[in-house]
Amino acid sequence: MKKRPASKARHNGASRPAAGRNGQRPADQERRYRIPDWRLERPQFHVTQKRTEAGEVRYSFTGDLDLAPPPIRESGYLTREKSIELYRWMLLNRRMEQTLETLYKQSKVVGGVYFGLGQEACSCASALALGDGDWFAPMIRNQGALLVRGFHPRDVMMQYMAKADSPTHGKDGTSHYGDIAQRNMVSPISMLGDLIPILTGVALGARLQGRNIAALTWIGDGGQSTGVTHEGLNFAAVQKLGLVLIVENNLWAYSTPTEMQFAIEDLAERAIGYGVPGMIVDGTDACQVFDATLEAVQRAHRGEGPTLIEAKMMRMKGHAIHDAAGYVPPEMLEFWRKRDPIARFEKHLLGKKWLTPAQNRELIAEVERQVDEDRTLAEASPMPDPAQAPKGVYCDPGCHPITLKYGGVKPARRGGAKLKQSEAALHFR
Amino acid sequence: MPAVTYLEAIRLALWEEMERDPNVFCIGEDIGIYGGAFKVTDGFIDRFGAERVIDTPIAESAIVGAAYGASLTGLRPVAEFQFMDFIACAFNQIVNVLAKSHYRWGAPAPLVLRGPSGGGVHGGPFHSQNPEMWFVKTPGLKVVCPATPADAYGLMKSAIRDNNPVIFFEHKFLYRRIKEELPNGGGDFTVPLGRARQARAGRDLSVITYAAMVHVALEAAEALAAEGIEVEVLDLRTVLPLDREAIAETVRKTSRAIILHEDTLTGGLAGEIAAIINEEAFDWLDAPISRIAALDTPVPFSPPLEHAFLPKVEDVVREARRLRAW
Amino acid sequence: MATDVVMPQMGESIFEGTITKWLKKPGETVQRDEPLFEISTDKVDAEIPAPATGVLKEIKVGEGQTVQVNTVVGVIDADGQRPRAQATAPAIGSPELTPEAGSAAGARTAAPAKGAAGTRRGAADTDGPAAAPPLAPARAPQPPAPSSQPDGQTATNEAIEVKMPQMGESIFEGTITKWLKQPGDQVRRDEPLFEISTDKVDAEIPSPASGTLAEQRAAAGETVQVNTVVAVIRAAGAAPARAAAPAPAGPQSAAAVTQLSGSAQPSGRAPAPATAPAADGERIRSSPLVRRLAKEHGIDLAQVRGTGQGGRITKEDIENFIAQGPAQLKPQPAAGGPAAPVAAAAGAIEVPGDLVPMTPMRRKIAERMLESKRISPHVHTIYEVDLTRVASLRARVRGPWEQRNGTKLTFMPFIARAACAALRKYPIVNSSVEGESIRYHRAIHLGIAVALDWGLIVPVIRNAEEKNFLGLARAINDLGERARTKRLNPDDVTGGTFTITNPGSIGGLIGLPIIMQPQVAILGTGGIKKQPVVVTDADGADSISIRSIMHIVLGYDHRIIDGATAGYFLGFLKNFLEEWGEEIG
Repeated sequence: MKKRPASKARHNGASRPAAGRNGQRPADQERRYRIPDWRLERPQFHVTQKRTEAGEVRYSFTGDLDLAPPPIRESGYLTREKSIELYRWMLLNRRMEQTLETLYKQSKVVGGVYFGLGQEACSCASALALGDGDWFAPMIRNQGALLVRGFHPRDVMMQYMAKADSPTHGKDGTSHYGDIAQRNMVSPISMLGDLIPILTGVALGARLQGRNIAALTWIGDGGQSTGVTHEGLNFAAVQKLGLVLIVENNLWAYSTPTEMQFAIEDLAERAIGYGVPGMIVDGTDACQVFDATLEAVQRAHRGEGPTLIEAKMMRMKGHAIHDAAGYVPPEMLEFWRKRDPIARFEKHLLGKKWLTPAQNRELIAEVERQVDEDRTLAEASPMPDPAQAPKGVYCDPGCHPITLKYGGVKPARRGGAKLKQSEAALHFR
Repeated sequence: MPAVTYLEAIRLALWEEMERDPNVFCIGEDIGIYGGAFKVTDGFIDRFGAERVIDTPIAESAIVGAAYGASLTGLRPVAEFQFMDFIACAFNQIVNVLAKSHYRWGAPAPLVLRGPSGGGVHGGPFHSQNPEMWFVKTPGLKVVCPATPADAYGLMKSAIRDNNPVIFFEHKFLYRRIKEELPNGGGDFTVPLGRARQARAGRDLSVITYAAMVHVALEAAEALAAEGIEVEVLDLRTVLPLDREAIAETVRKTSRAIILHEDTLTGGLAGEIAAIINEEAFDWLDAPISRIAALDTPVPFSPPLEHAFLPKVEDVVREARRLRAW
Repeated sequence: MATDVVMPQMGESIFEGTITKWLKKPGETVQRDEPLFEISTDKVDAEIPAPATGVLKEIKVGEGQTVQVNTVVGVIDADGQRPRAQATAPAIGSPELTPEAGSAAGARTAAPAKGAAGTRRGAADTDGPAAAPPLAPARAPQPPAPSSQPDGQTATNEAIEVKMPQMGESIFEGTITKWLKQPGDQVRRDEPLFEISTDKVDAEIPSPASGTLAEQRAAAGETVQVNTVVAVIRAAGAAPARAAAPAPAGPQSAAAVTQLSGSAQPSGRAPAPATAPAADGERIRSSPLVRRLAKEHGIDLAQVRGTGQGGRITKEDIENFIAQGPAQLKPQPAAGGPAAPVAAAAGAIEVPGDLVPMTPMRRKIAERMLESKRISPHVHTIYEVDLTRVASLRARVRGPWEQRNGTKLTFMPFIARAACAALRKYPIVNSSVEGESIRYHRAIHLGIAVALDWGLIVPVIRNAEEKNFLGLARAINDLGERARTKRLNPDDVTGGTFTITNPGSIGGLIGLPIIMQPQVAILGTGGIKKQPVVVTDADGADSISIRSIMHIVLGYDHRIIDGATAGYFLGFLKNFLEEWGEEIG
């Protein structure tokens, strides 16, 4: 018997009205699916291409611009201590990226720099919801998740500066690194969506070794268009593997608005098509992101399969540092600037008296000190030795041991079957 | 130990490795109860269970991605493609994830991607290709193309035990056409990756080849021997990394080289080998290097067209005579 | 110390930028990370922060000018740097969400945060806690620039360090004997900069880069360790200094390399006298193989009849030509006999037996031996050596010696040491023939033949002349061990200049060895046997004594070594061993 999801339980709470009476044409059936939406506001936007009077084609924007920013939704899980830790990670995330921008402009960075400005809550809160044995693989804007999971700002900086002491020793840049030994992080690649089947496979590997883990990765509103996203999520759903997929809908895929990326209303609806639970959270609300991820992680630990979480927010910078994002209507930025995830979370903590202004000052100063110390270390690191360029293409004997993360597979013997001659399969004549 | 076919040798190696190491598992389409499109894993699910013989959706990128993910937790997945033509569907996972994993971030990917390739079976454009060069061009992979049951067995074991991603091209024309007794009396043995094999010794001319074309070369050598032309046949076995020494060695011995492969000519492995000969054995050459390969077209379906497409014994005989007289 | 300010690359495909505004004037003090100038490129406009704290010394590219990326646009003099009062970084509040994308943020929001508040009212402004005023983007959260920017860091952006080179593996220090340039002098790359003296060589050291000699860090007469920075050059054109300062190779070492590669040539490439073109000036049709064989055997291809297509000379043609014997070859010094026949005569009676192909190693040995016999006219001279003194020394100290040094004490290092001394005395024996010249090798790369179950290999001790007795003993044992366990590297078996082979270890009296091309001599040692010998004492009285006797043989290339030279060489060697007086460690 295969270990397959035997029941086709509808995780989305689909319901089916009773069929019509005997002898009559059954009434048309209507199925209903449920996508929980935890947001405290549901702004409507629309971006279209319009020709200006000057004859240029530009994006034009309509939507609810005057809404007051919502408060933070109270978390069902975050303690005071954990909340402050989360706030600190978000601050560290932003300060570190600001320092990266400075280093870039001083020509100390090789290549481009990518930012997660406005997305710190989503990166940090989701990573913080993982357990120790869980895995993750960040996308380019999830640099906060790297910090939460144990990398230092200097690692991030040295990686951008292509230094010898960077996590890849100069072999790759940006957040393209990982750590399978301690931090359980899979290195991302530049192509979008490929991490989804990989994290699914990590969960598969763990399950074969007798352990249900959560494997978290993120995908953007643009990246979710790729075919491999579908392949990976579908496979995770079929095998009920503990994938936690956060779709970061930040409204722009490089310069393409969501209207030109997908036709459904909310990306969370995609979950219905895979038979997995889907939900919507406000990606600028750290508490919502934390709670939703934690519940998905708990489902994974119970062996109940993957979860899709759509986090709605706004990319507050260009695609990368070279991109001034002049195509983004300014009103849109103005709207989201009022929803700064850090400022709102700070206000939330101060309001609850979980953080005093004095403590806040101290915490900010401490974060700045850390970033500055790490920056000094990163700048002092040497460039790699060119002699390293040809090395490391293959894993030669003695170079890296293959380590069984969860103790290996305990083989379950089935029958006394011996290898028999297989029957010929004739495909072609 | 009775003689086994090429396909049985692969089955045996896979089976024994799964018996030996519980961390080896198979993943692919229709490999469970059905036993795989070519029945390579027939009966495996009965022995090893559905946990280690995993049927997947039709999703090659997901198969390769999931196999890689599992390998990161220390397991040794063997992923099956129903036909190696479909490996294109997983291209990005292979060339950008697997191949670069160790170089970029030090994560070994001990997995095998295996499946049937090659023509001569009237499979048409999508069931006959030899796509090894897509991967030979990609540093970080190992690419294996065995020609005999013994090599298929020994190389499969080495591939599974290797700590790098290995792409294992099984030639479907050979699956049930050739048979031999395995050496070592049925006991376990391996064939090292990256080492060529002298399939026939000769002094006048070397045919450097691999996979099904080894048998074409041997047949041609037999015919040429009758004319007094002694042909040496070098079976590369592994096409990445290439055994440069063996290539140089045979050319230094015979001073004449034909490179033969079933893959298409332009951008095929023959060009690379010709360059190696040029670099390593130029001063030993007594005639130009000759390439024999398939036409630069998709693999045609109809038998007369496919026959015209594939390299043949008479092509080798003709070229050998030409070089001998040069 | 001066720090260059460069035009940054704001995107992979951007190659130039325009300076729209300088925010500081020359002479003004600037803090690290403080906005220094504004730029505009194809993709973005940006405000560029200063790379270091100091005084803006010079603006090299004015407003409105467009320059390529990495061009130096200004210079900050960090020497003039004074500790400055704290910059006005607000101490509280979260950094504000800065929506302006990319670096455009910089230029367009260059004004201090509060001044821009009108257009940049953010969440923190309108509903943030009063305690958290907005912060300016990017630069504001930066703490005041640390005044302790490590010196080396900025220096590497433009200064090139000149180091004391390592003039040989065993050299650890050198003395600067003379400076050829003074601070402030212009120097071109490769132009001699200073002179040094070490244990091994005296050398003139060329400059690693063009520029101005900024600093001498070691005075003439000073002795410093290798890799010590002895000078700093300020690069001309301010090339990015990331690839800074590999230790320059001195002229001596470069020469040594040339020479070494000359001797390390595979034997097959030894140049032979050029062959005359065909009489009618037509190009002779042949092949790379044929041309190589012709060169090796000094054959004029015009004399060889071609049987291939269009009269091409084939492999068989030239092999037959060679096989027909020296009569057809160009005149060569008399050799030990006719060239070996290439193959058994056609039509030989086939004798029943197993035909086993040679292993690759066997084939290589066969090829090399045959080749050597063809190239070098061999002569052998044999001497008898009384090894009693060495044998008793060895017997006496062997146990403690081996324990102390962790390696075996055999006779081989005695012989190797004696051979090195003899080769130094008679350098012709440590040479090779190149065309019509003799190359005398500076170093002794000593080949030691090692018999293996599957053949024979000759690993090489490099620079054997630099090694003492213990060093030689270790090297011999190490190479032997690695040869037997197949762990030799390709470099271990190439480049020998002289070879010792020890067939005596098997028990024979002596054998006549074949020279390893392109060497010109090989020393063989026979078995050591106790024999009754007539010994004459100081008073001239004879007596019969039991002595340990060994035969040694020198096989040599009579083209350049005559019997007398070989005799002197062996006599020196014999004497060195019989009167052994060296410390053995």
